[in-house]
Amino acid sequence: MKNQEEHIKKYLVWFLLGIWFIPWLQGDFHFIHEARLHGAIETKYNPILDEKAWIEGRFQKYKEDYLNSEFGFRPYFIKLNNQFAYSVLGNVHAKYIVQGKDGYLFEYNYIKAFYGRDFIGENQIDLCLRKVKKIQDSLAQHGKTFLFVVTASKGQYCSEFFPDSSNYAKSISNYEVFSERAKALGINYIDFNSYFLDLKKNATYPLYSKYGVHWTNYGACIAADSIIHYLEQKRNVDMPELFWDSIQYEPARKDDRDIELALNLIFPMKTQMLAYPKVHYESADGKQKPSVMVIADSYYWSLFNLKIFNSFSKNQFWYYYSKIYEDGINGFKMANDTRLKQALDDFDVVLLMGADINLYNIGWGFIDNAEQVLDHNPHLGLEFQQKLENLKAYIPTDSSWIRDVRRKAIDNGISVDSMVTLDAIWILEHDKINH
Amino acid sequence: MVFSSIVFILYFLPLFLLCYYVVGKKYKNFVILAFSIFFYSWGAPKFIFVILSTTFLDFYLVQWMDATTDNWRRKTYLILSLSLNLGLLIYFKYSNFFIENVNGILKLAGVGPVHWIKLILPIGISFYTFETITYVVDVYRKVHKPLNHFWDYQTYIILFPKLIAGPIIRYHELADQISDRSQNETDENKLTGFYRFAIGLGKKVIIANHLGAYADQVFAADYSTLHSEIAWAGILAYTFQIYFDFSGYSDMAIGLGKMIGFKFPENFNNPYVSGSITEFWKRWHITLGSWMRNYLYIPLGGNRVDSTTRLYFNLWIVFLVSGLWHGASWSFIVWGAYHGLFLVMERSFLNTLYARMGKWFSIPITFMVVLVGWVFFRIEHLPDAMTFLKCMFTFKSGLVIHLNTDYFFYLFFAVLFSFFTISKSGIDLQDKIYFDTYGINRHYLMTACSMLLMVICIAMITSSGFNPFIYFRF
Repeated sequence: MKNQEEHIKKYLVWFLLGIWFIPWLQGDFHFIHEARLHGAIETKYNPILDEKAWIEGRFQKYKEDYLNSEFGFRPYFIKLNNQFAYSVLGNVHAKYIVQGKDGYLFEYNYIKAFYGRDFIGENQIDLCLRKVKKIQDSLAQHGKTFLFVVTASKGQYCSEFFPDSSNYAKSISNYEVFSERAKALGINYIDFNSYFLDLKKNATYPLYSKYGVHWTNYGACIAADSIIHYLEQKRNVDMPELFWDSIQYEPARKDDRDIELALNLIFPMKTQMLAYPKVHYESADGKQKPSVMVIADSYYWSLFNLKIFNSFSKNQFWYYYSKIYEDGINGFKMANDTRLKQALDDFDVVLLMGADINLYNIGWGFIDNAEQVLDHNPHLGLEFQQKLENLKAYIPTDSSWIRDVRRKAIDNGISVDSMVTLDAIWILEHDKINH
Repeated sequence: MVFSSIVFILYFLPLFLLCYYVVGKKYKNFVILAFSIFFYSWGAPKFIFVILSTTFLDFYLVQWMDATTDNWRRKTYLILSLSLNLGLLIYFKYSNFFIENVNGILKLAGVGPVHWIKLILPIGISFYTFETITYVVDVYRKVHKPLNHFWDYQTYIILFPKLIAGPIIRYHELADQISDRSQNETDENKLTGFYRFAIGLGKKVIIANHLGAYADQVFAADYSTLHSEIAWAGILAYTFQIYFDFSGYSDMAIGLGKMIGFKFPENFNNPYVSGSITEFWKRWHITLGSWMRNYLYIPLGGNRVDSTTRLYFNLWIVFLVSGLWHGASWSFIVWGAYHGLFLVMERSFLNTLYARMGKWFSIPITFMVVLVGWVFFRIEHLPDAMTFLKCMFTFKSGLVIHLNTDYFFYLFFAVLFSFFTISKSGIDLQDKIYFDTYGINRHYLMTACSMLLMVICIAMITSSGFNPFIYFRF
């Protein structure tokens, strides 16, 4: 009996040691397919060992970061932690995400923007909008229309659901000053914030979801419809309109619970029912379709995905004034001064759109550059381009990085070159590497 | 490399254990040594050369000291060795402090400052210096013979489980285990060592890190505007953070030692159930207290002195040194003096008072004394510490840092695990987990619980990233 117990102990020791190696082996050999984590995750790169890096401790730091992100079954460990924090303690574990009342999830920036904690000052806003007005007037001389759109924001729309911990004193916000000054300066302007707040009292379906960052699909349909009508009126044309065939009322789709997905929980949150209009666009016969250049943040994706470009003859989406997406074309091009000049020549409408959280930097460089281009001073965006090219040249030289890029390219169904560019842009945008 | 990091738990440790278990007895110390050098140089690559070269010199000084019978020479070698070790500690740890104070005085006198490049403290220097001192003193006192081979001495000093945050193991406690620990290398010890490691990791990762996150927020605030309640919440969080952090580390070290056949001394014994500061120091960082008693207090005369004044003086010296050992700043000195003051008061009258009151009064009073002391420990700048104390005791309103569910959840477990041994059944339970011999069914249960604990800890570590131990800076 005693002998048998000793044997069992020995087996237990070796069993434990064997188990202990599994995350390491899985991380290196990927025996079992693992579910990926959602959200923006910084990729850590495997550093190259050299004497200097070791002595200075750089190698160890980067290696630790790398191993911490690469060991086997990590997604399950993270989900376990997040589920425990959420279910037991009511906390959410994702960067800049806070949980409000009644389970509402917010990006913290929306709360900041609502309370005016990112206020840039009236003078700066005035300066910015005077430039916008100048651009509008310059374009108008060439028969082109400029339109400035402030999207409805979750912070403004759902402020009653803010968490108690974010109960700041309300001060003047960028949105309030932008709104007032844009109207005063005569800028073509759509304020979806106030529009959605008006609709809120009588809206049949939610315009904002509990677990999503952006307006709902239903809200996006209203926005798309409104933009088309505004352009029709402003350009005095008859454009193909958006028609709603029916509305499906169903559990929130992926796009309307993107924050929830980024929380990486094991079990989904309580389902929210949302409205999904089934839409079609009027035939273009006998209609006029302007070409539209859009400089916008991620809110425009919901309109782009609704195929709002069916009402336009051509549509370019300058995402954060950095990557240019075009309807019917896979991949993207990079924004630069030549392309901006060309676009300002080519398009009938220039639409600048952003949420209140982005007003502090609205245009992301477009306003200054467009002003210069229109003043025939095309010296734009070169520094960013140079950095991007350098980084794109570097990525293939890093074996670990390029391996990761290849994997992501397969996952996203795009070419490795495109993925290299995407990765490089992401890094530059987040300023993660100091080349 | 810290114990509560992925690189240690999932890479270094399993590889080390595999190598250690598969090699023959002859090569086991070599495996320990190689992995320990790698372990140290991972975190402090520049300082590995300092530790290797000074221990080399120290080893031969002690060899020569042991070889000679001439008392004068023996004393000379002893002084040389102590000067070498203490000199290094003073140079690396106290030079910055000394120069800062000199510059402060020069400034008052209207003289320009002494220019000085700030030194970086080698990790664990306070711990291993004290161990090198025990080596030379134990050999000098003929408590134990010196080690025969340099690499054996190096193994004693650099043994990674206890290298950077203790326990401080006196030479004679470990000397025989360096050459032969076959009796302790049992599967029973490997398993119970693993359980102990998992418990220690849990203390650090689950309790200390979470309470520490709140404490960090509070101590980063402007103390003059802080709400008194928040100041109390912050220092309470820190009080438990430091205990679970340090005792967790000690548990991990003891567990690791056990897994490879070493028997390390206990370092904590439920310090927060102490009924006096005297008792607290018998339960908190026991190996430091023991070192101070044997290598400082007793050489100063200990209890066997002619006058009470001298006795109190000795006690104060010990606690001032103890404070200074923890860090080179005035607040650590004040912290040591503060504990010394209570120790002296207990000797003169407080102990009698405590005895009359009973433990239900003396324990909370002692806990409060310790808690207030942690203010000096946490806030290195003395005027800031005073502002914080003022904030605590003026009961004023001000800046509120939201206390969320996390805080109360982890505080509940911290209180529970800190005070459960206040009762007899709590002590019995603790003894069953830590010290009893296990039956096979209990092994199954503990293996499952420990694995679960490890999974939870890994989940928390990988979600929160890198989290260094507090005691690394001492």
